[in-house]
Amino acid sequence: MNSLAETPLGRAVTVHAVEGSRAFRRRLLEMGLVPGTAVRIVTVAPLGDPLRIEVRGGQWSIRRAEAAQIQVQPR
Amino acid sequence: MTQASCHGGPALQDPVPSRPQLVIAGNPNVGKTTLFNALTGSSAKVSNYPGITVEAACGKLTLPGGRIADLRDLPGTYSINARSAEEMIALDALIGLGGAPAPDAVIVCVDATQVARATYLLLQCQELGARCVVALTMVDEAAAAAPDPRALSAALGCEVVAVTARTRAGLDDLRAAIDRALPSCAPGSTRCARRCRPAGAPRPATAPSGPPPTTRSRCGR
Repeated sequence: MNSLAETPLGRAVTVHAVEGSRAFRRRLLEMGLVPGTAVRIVTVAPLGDPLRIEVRGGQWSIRRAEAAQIQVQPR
Repeated sequence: MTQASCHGGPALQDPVPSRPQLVIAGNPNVGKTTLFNALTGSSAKVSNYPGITVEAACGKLTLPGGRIADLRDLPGTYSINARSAEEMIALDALIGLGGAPAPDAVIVCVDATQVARATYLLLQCQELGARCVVALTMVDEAAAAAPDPRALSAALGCEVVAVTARTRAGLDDLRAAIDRALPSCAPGSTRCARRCRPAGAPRPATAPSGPPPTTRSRCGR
């Protein structure tokens, strides 16, 4: 099981679990990043930190540390 | 439409708003303020990025039949679990805390390109017992991918009106849908009389012998 932060740019993976604080988990879950959702990294900022990810047709920007709390598996 | 019997009921709560209270809720950056401006003729600041509306703006909306309602534009939120100050404003307005009365109906703005994400907030509004009308925004943006309002209405259990606030398409349909969603008694009736009965239900008889309020009643204080 890998985290989203370790996923190569552009590869679509499936969310397995969201870890981290309760508030963080709830935020992502209510925005639609629930287990089973497809997600991929679209862009990485120049210094490697915020990542732009695509979820359900929308794009979000999240921290690498946050992406490390999203467990994913290959599709 | 107007039921004279709605007037003169016991004043159970005060202050009693004299006009139907409406709010516009929805996720961030789905076009709530654009819709608000189009419905009320206001010029609240609009931008194409989230987080512009940080407090509730107020305006007046004329419904079909000449009835005037107070409309409030709320900051965007993904759920009723507020984490930030502006989400707290939106939550307070939806459930009637912070001085303002609970709305008589909620216009839930749903981005036609992001319908699935919006359903969580809509469901929460419905579970609060709010009368909801869905305004499907950005239909022009979604083009062929836009969902069919009738199919969506059947799935969501409330009226769905496709609008394009920029071109004013669908605004009259939305006003009519809001009018249908509002309780049929006239403005000026007591909040309790308006909110304890489903729209169109007969007024309960005098207080002690009247039928019990519906399960959605929040007026049992």
